[in-house]
Amino acid sequence: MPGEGGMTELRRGVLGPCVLALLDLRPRFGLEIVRDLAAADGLLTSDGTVYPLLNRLRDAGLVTSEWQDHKGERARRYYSITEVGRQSLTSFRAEWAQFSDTVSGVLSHRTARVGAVLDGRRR
Amino acid sequence: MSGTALDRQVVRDYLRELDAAFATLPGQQGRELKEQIRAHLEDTLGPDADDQEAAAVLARLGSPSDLAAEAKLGAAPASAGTRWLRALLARLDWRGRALAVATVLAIVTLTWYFVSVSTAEVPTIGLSEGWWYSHDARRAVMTSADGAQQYTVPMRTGQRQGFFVDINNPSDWTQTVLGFAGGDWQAPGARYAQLELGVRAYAHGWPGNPYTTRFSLPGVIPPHQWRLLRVMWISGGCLPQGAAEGIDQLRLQVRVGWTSRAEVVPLGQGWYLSGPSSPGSCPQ
Repeated sequence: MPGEGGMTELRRGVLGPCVLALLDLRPRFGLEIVRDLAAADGLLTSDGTVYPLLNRLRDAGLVTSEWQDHKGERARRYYSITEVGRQSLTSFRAEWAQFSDTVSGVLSHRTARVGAVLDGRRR
Repeated sequence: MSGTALDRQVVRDYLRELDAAFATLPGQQGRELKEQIRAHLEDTLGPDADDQEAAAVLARLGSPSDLAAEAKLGAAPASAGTRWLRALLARLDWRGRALAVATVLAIVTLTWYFVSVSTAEVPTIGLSEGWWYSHDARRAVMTSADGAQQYTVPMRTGQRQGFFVDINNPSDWTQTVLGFAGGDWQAPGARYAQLELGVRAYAHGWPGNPYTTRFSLPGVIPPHQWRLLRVMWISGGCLPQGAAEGIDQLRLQVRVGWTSRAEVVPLGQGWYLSGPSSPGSCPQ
């Protein structure tokens, strides 16, 4: 079983596309992204991991960042999705739909077989 | 509470740990990430946040070592040398870092010094010049050939002869003339010559009366100043009728800063003695 370590890896893998999906709606600053992700239960293990991820996405050309100074607030670094980021997100959405179906199917099948074996022993 | 939430001891401790953990990251990456974490803390913690709230926010943020590990994922690997240096800096306390900085500064300063000294411009010769003794000056003949000028006087075997020129130090370093480089004096007319530098400063183009100048060695030429250089010898050797020998450059041993080096100083013209030398000075 993958356990918590496996789930961490899984979260790490999907967190990038989730950030892109948030930024696809509108530009956000760091804490906004953290709060939106934290609101999705179980997606974020620690708030700090979002920042290295944002930097990796920016280095890959999927997001850009710029300082914005809104009236009455201190200057913040806002992140926006790039065109390359949008293409990457579209591609991930298609692959994810198929992938999650496949994983769900396999997991359901295994569960049914294990259930059948247990049923046989009981007899 | 005065100041911001970042001033709270628990936050300061966290940021200090962050510094240590990020020391192993490439400089720009570490600085940027720290700036993002600080902004996160400023956004999350109001000025009235207490220690409990701050501790909760820091716990949600994750440990500095976890953040550093996360940042290293997909980051360009640092070179072995850089990794070693970063690991070393991360282990040093402020005294160690101060020592490291002082060492680097010393190396940079020494490198600058040696480059600067080794590239200091060589002294140049000006237009004020002449044979030292008036009976040589009166009999001097100036000739030109192929753009080169030659100043020739008859050799006076067994007697002192010599000339003076003005010499400029165009560099930003004090240059001290120590003597001929490697005892390199071949001509004119004598195996040995005496080299001296006038210690009186003057404006270029008007050295005044050279005979009232005191000459000595070593001779110091401060940056961008002029001095008189006197070369004297006792003429000897064999010089047949119609023959001439002389010099058109000096090889000087000069100290620049703490470094002594040989410098070739073109004289701009030739200083020559013409034969015949006195009877008996040439082998039969």
